Amino acid sequence: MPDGRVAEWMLSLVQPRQHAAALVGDLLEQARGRGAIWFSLTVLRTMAAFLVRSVDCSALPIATAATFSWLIYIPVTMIANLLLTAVVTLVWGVAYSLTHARTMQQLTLDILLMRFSWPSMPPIAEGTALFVLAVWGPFTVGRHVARASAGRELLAGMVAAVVWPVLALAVPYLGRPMKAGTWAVPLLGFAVLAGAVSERRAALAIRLPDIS
Amino acid sequence: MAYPPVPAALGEFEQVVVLAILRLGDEAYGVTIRAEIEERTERAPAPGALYTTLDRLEAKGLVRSRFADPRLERGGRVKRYFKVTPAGVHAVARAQRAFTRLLDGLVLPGVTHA
Repeated sequence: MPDGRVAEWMLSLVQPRQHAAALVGDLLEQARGRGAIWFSLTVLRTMAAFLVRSVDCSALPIATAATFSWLIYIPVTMIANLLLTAVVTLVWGVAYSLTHARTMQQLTLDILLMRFSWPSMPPIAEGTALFVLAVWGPFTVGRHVARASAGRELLAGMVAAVVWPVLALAVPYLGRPMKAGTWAVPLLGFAVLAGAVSERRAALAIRLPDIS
Repeated sequence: MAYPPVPAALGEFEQVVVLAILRLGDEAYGVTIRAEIEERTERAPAPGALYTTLDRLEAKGLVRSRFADPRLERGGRVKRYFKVTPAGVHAVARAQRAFTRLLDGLVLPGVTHA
């Protein structure tokens, strides 16, 4: 017989936890003689039914929240991108100058005149910037989208995860982080969805079951 | 003069679910409701459809639920028992009266009324 803890965790993303537990109990009762495949498929179908019902109830507010959050994300990431680039560049440049300057006088002059001659940023710095903009940023916004759609966090996240990549493709230079190729577009969606799931879990104060 | 609130309109499947809960009395929870519907209507509702309908009926105030009776065969999980509220009884009676009025005097070709 299936264990049901994973099913309970999944259904608690679309239902209050106690309702999800009772629902899984019902499905476990009915799964006897039908098997684990029936149970797993029924859990997925039931989850889909709740999601579809949520869309029916509140598609417009959730789509509005998702689009609005994307519009907020653009200026935030542009500013963050500039700040991050400036900080990383300055730290990297000063460190380079400190280790390569011939005299203190030359170093002081270089810093005052912002006259650095450092090599391009190391890949790890660019990778960090990309992570912040393509993963951390959308993840955080995903949490806020979910928070604005209390009770329907997962659905809001799913809508945002679809809306964002579509908008990102429609507006290439604004819709995705600088230096990120088209490959980063689905990443935005996943990050938004992960943020929404995280918020949903926090809202319900549930933990991933121990399935070992 | 205060008028009584108009009961919420019920869809066909909602009526089926409310009637099944009324038939089961104190034993109405997901499994028994589904079995009752299957037995009486000869069609098994999808669990997703049943549970979303139960939630919708509860949101409309036509049924209410309580949690009780955890069992080993359910992995220790409680059952969610449903009960029809007076508003639910009123709504289903109103819907049934509407059907009866529509059928009254109507002869359906090839169908014999009980």
